[in-house]
Amino acid sequence: MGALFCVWVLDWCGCVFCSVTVRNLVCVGVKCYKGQDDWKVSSLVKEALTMNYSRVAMLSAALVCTPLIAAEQGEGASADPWEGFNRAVFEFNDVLDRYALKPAARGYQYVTPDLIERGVTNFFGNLGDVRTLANNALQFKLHDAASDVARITLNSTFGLAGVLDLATPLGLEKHHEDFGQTLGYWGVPSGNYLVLPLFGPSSVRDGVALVPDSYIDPVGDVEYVPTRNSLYALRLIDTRAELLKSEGLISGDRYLFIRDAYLQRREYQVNDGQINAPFDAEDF
Amino acid sequence: MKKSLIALAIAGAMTAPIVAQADATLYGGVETRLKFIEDHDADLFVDKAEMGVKGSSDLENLDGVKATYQIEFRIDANGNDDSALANTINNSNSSGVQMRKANVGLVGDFGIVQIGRQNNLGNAVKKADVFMSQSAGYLANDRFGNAVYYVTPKMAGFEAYAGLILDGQQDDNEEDVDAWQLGFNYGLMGLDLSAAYTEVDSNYLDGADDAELWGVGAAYAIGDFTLAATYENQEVGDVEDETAVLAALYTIGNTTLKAGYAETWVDNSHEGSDGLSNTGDNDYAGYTVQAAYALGKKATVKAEWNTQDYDGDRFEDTDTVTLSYAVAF
Repeated sequence: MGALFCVWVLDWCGCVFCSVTVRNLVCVGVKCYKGQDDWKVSSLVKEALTMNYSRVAMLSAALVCTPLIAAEQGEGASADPWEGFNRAVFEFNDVLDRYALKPAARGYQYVTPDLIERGVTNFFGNLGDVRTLANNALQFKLHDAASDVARITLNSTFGLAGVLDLATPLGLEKHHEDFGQTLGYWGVPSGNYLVLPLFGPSSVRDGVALVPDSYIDPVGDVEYVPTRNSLYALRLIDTRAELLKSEGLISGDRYLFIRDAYLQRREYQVNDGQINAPFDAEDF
Repeated sequence: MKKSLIALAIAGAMTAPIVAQADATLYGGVETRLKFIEDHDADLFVDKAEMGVKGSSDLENLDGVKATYQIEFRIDANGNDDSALANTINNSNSSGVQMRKANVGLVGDFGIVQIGRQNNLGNAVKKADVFMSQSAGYLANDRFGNAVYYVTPKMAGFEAYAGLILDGQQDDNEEDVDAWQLGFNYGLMGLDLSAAYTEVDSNYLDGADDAELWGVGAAYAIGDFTLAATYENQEVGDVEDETAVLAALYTIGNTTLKAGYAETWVDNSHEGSDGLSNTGDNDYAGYTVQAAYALGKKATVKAEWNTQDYDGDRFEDTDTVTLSYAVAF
């Protein structure tokens, strides 16, 4: 029996046991149920009761999910003492996004054939692999770092400078690591939640970590300034266009939603998906 | 997939259907490379185009013994004439067929006896020879002609071999054996060891001294990680050349990452001879990293970076990037 717990990834909840990922998912026993927006421990237990699950299963599910729910309700308040400032910056970013970036991304997506869009995403993904490689090495994940070297080599050569992602189908999985995760791996706490102008949701730790990451960004090494700036702009639009498909999932207070999603996702990333839940599969 | 050619020899047109069958395997491969050498034009070329036929047949009159045969040749696909633009661009035909192997053998409980043109078994020491760029000045020949080899059966991972070369046409000094070789291979529990000693007669070399070449190689695999090393030493009288290579390999699924360091020491007495500097030493070293990806059982792409560092003024230090795509059959 594998581990059973709810994992929040952005606004999605995934059950690592049954590999189902839906919004507001509740894992009970070995099955997953779609929960309500305002689900609580009590409703979880109630639902489990109606499904005739054993008491042990219910208790375990409650134990596993409780800390996550608590984190959702409590962590936000304690980790965001700068909410006033953050909301102001968030509003600024939101306006900028609404009137400039999002329309640009929409237009880009509209005029660009999917094939080229995929190529552009792959191209910047390949450059991003350089950052991932450096941070995997700094986190002593040598196997992943070696795999990143193999990815970059193949995609940069036979993959026509990264436009084709040949490495993934060959079994070299894409990783996502940045210096914020590296600092987290080294034990640096994330600090207060911080919304950065232009960069969006971050934390003190992750905000500082943007600086070393920018040093190993290959785009920054392009000496001809117009080319470099064009690449930055294209990457920004490409990234924004990639987010278009998931932003419809945002509901309620946008600020709170994005903050909570960001904090939980970072926690998940720093721990590489290994959530420390007081749970033993043998209890079942 | 290896294709089997069923060679049918029908004994008599209308007689009883006695069919003598010999199962032969047709094999080979083509490898193309794109090479970027520092300060040189890019070069796209066919690195090798080889094919061969090999097989064995049971000997009805010699119980438990098989006869083996092999013919393998390489075709020069690029053309050797530098001045001939026509050879590479206007005219796709190029000349030159090199015979790589042509041998017959006997295989039985006693081991293997193989006669003819064949691989130099001493090359088993080249465990670290896993790169496209020849950073190392490997000393042993790849193949021998006019040779006969005896290889013992494998006993607890151990096998030994002995070879003789009798090249009657080269000289007539009443030395029948022009060169001989002894060696062994051992392989068990991820550890591979090889050693070989080859001696070429002075008369054959038209020199005062015999040429002595010895080499050792070792490879050890732990999980996905392999470490390999090779050392070769050649002495002709007082003239001593050496080469040492270290290679590390790491396998991730279908991908192998390789890194290597090679150092070659060229004896100073070679100074001024063909291709070598008149002054200073001719030693050189090289670093190589390579990523090799198996696209399938028979198709591989490789990307390699190599830097060559020459001690003397023989050549400029050079960086080379090589991309390769090879398909075997």
